Amino acid sequence: MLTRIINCQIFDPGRNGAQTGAATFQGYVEFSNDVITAVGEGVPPPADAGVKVIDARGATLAPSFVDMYANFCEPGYEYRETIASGSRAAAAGGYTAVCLRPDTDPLIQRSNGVRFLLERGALAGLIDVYPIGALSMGMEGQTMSEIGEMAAAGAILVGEGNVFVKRTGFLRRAMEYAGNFGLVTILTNEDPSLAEGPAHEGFMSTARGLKCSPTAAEEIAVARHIALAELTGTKTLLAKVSSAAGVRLIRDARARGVNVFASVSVHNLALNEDANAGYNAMTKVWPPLRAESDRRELLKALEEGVIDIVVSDHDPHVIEEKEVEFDLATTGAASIELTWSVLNTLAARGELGFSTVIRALSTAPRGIMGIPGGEIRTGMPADFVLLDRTAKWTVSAADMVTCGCNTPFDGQELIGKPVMTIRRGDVTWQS
Amino acid sequence: MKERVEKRVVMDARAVEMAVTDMAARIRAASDDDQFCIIGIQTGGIHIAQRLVKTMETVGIPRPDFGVLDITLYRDDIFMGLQQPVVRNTDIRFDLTGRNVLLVDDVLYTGRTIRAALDALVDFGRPRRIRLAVLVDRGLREYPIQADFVGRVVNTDADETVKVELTEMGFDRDRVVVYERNN
Amino acid sequence: MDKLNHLLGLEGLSRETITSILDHAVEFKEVSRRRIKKVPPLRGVTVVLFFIENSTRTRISFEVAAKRLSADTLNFSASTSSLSKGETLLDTAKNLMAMQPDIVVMRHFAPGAAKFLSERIPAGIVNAGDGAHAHPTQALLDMYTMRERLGTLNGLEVAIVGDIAHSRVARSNIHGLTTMGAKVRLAGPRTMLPPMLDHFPGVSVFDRIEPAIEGADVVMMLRIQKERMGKDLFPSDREYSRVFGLDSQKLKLAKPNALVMHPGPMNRGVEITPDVADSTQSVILEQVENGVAVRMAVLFLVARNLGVSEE
Repeated sequence: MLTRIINCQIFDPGRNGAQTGAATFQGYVEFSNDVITAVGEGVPPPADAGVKVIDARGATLAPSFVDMYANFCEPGYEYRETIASGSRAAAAGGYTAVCLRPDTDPLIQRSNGVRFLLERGALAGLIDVYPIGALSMGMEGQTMSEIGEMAAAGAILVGEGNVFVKRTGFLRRAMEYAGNFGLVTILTNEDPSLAEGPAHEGFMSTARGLKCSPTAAEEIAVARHIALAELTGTKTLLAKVSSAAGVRLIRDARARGVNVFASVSVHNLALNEDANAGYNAMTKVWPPLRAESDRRELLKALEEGVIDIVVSDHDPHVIEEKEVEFDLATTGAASIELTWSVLNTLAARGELGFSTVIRALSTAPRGIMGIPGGEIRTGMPADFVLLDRTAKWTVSAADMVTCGCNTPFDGQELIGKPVMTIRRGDVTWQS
Repeated sequence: MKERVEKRVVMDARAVEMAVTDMAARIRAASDDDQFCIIGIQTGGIHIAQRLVKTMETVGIPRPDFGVLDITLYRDDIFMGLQQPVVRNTDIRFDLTGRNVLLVDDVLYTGRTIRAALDALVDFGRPRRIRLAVLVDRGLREYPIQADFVGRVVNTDADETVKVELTEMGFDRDRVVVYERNN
Repeated sequence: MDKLNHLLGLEGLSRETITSILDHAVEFKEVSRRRIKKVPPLRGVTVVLFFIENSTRTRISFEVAAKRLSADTLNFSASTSSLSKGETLLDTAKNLMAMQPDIVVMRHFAPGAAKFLSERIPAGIVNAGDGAHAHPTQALLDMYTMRERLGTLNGLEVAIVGDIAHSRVARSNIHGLTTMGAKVRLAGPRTMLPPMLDHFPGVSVFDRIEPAIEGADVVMMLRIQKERMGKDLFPSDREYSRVFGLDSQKLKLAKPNALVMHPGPMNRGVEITPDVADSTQSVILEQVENGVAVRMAVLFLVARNLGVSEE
């Protein structure tokens, strides 16, 4: 059935060039089955009978979002979230595709794990699930997992979740092997022997007596992973960079032409170590919230494209896991449905460009993963999000779509809200 | 600080001096032993007590043991949030057991302060007797307490406040004044 | 003066408030020297000593303080408690509330635990130590001791030496002393100095003990916790005592009558030699006596804000 969206401000990254201006144009988009059939400016010609018309009422239409790092807790931790509930939260955030961490229970380390996630995702029917296969059995860094089999089952990404692979030699071989199958290796960055606690080693940890981890722990890990990316030639995504030191190394590596990409978590872009001042466990995330100077470097690097994408780092927990002393609380925040709104709030404050945000959430992830879309053009997949860029609203943890209760943004006023998400022509969510 | 409205002056400097002299004489007559000691209640009672001692010294009576007592910790309204109670100095360096104690305060009103002072004193020993001297008795008792030595009886209403203002407190001259109550 | 509903730490307390606490402690010290060491203001008030991290000395000090104010005390310690059976802090505290405590004196190994509880249960919370964050009554009794012996805190040069990174005593003293106009010199091996200490106004940082104690009015030695020995922070007791410990030779660098202080318990021969610990300059035992008076003042001032009456 042909569907037409009218009265929208179309933002097409392909037309503008992803980094420049935020020019949108008033227009309409038509799609049939799962493909865009027409994109036009101004008022469309009258519609034939049988055409479904959606009035966007001035909302901005952009390519839908792709999240390259999230946890939907299934299998094993369904009390926190399931693929079904996580899919709903993702759709509410404007996402049509999400990459899921392998550190579930059991781990995703064999083809059956990959198939299970794909099936559950298909059953929920709201987003495309992209499993990240574990690099090693048990994520113990000793024996490689069946990476080839997982690739055959449909995985395009591998990684070790939030675990730092201990043996550098092992990681090299695993990355080479992953490269064999054209997979992207996603690596998080903290040398655990330097990390004595959950806070950023800086003024706030000194003032509040919090156990902490220095940026050097990230810097050492990033340096190692860049060197291995260079050595193996494998496409590598350095996940959740959080420090100016990390950014420096990545900028240098890119300049040299090393095949590395970088992501940053929405939390490190929006918040700094001051958020930990009251020991509120909802602000306990990993990597930790760092100094304001680090945050500014991350924003700058994202604008420049030294950091390619923003991830939600969605990590739901139940209230019992967070309503405890800071040291004992679990780490993580369930922010997937808020990610664009938080970034748009930063944009409204002048800290980020609107088009940078769309690039970071839509175009660049698709580029890294090699999946089609990310432009509003005839022939492209009908994956869109309609965004109200000016709506002011207050986050209420109790009213969120995710089953997780944990967000550091509870009670904060944000600017902008997704109003509709469309995946392959189907409306997966509307407010 | 809202200015207090002065209603009437019930004692001037001369009246205060005469009252103190008179009280000193009566106290001396009734306290002819070597167990006599004086305890002034913070803060107004201390000045009156010191004046009594000075007056007695001028007629050759040796200075008795002297102590100061703060009753804040013994008040019955300490946590009723009325004011910020400030705990002041208590300094009683002698055992009160077997002593003939003269408790001194400036104004006797409801009797609650004296009740608190009695509770405090018995923690310092077991006095043989305790008697009370006040410069002004303004009536309106809420407890069955009476003073043994009174400088002047003054009739007041509940909506009034009585203040003893002495030069050692920084005032120009000694006066006892009835004011309108502030709150 | 700040309204003391809780005492969670000294950061943010005004000079006026700290002075008031110390002044009240003077009067309560007098009570402790009477024949009958008891006054009635906290009669009918229930004080729970909620010690998740064990401590005999601090707990007893608070217990004596509460009893001297005529309060009723209840003891709750971690080892004999439901916490060891997996009950959360919050559930344990809620169960405690069923006993209607008015004040909870709490010691816990997690920083922020006292604040956590103050936001969730309706009692007045007095922090007796929360991880490495704060130990406000210790700093108050340290300041009381200094003020009593030296006359004033304003302009004092106070050296604090030892494992600053893990010390709640150091942190609370930094806040209290600088508020009262003293200057703080922190010293310890670099492995025990957290970053950005000199961002606190009035604080200077040294990685050797000698420059820190030169000309100091007060030398406060912190306990080296033996549990830290296995954690790469310094090679041995012996080396620590020789390089960073206080002996009579090093003490000569300080002012002639400088006070020697220690929050206790001491490791004699490690951070402080026995002869210095027992010297005339040592006020370590006075600290303990002053601790009861200061804690009486704190309990009194917190109770005042509960609107609790004597009856």
